[in-house]
Amino acid sequence: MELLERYLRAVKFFLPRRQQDDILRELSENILSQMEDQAAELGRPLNENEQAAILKQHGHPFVVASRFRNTPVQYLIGPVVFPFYWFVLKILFWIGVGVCALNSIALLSSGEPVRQLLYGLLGFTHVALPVFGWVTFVFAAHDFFQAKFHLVDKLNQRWDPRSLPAIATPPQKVRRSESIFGLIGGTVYIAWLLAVPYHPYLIFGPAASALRLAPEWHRFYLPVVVLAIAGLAQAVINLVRPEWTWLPPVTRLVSNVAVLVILRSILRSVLKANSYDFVLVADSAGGARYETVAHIANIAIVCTLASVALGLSIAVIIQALQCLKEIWQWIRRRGNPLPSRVS
Amino acid sequence: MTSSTSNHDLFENLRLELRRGSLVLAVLAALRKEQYGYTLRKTLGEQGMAIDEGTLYPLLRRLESQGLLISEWREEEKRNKRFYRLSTEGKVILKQLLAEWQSINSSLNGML
Repeated sequence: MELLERYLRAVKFFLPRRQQDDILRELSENILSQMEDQAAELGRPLNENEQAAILKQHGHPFVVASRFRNTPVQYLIGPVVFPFYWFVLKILFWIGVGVCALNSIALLSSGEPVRQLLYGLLGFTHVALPVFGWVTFVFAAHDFFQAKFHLVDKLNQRWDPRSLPAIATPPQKVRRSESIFGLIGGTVYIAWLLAVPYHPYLIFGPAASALRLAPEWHRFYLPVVVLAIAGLAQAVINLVRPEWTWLPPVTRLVSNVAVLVILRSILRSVLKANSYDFVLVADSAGGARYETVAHIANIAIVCTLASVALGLSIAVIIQALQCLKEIWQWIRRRGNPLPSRVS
Repeated sequence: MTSSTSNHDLFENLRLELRRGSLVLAVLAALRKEQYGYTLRKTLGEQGMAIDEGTLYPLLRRLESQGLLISEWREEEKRNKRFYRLSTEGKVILKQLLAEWQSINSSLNGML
């Protein structure tokens, strides 16, 4: 019976310490009874192969022990929470992939695109793994407390079907008011942009006599005006063609991508020169007071531009998905002019 | 994987699922008479309710921890064995489960 002893010792290793002796004693008796029964049928003691066959029938020691474990929760994230957990992970993954892709596109213009691309991918895994870990931790903790305090049961009792969100029907047309607002807003914005070079007061207010924009801005002036005109054109087109619902998201996406390219160029030149002189003290002004004001303004501009670049990167991914959705719905509507309804 | 293999696997899974629910009932019914693990398994097998060791022995401990069974170590044929029998609470539950099972059975018979 050496094989049985070896088997029981292996099972013991995986059993909870407090129950080890009790379970093994009972298991040993049951297996011995089975072996004796079989030996009596055969009229001789069992050989090693026959003993092994009985033990194999009982299962691998790890499997046998796991069946005796009576732990109530054996998973990290339960079936109730898992769909939300998976949804969040997927969203974060695609945001990460999108940011990485934008970064890679931007890096193609650098001196060593392949090397930078590899660094970018490594950077993604460095960020993605801790994010994955933290999200898992948060959801596991949520699941633990949810099970402990029966939160799902409580939610189920308090739930009211009338509180469900209404079904959003996709807009068939761009609202007229939206286009008119875009037209007015766009016109004012373009007028302001065109007036700024001649009237610095429109940017600096009372400090216009002491501060001026750095020449760096002149490079980006024309692209910014073009983008503003594109926005205005979209509002005009949608006023005439309100059924082109795909146009606003596509224009927003293209504009934001262009803004990102401009921002990247600005921030790159800042990093390269290691200085951030967006606002300079006017030649007519002087003194430490204006130098300090210009310095503070420059720091604020760098921080704002960096934050906007980050926000836009995320917005561009979401807008790209929205665009695909809008274009898909527009194509479907063209094929079937009647709105689809839930039967 | 061929279609017949897949159908066979599907049937096997559904069959096991169907039987799993009846196993507790069978074990409780069989333990109206005191038995130890191995003989219980043999009895169930002879009655057409074969159950593998890996399922039966942990199930016995679970039912005992739920108060439906009582166990006692006793010597038989010069060896100590753990004998199980139905507790008072187990008898009540068995009666309720049997009524439920008969109700399901008659409903199904009506449908089929």
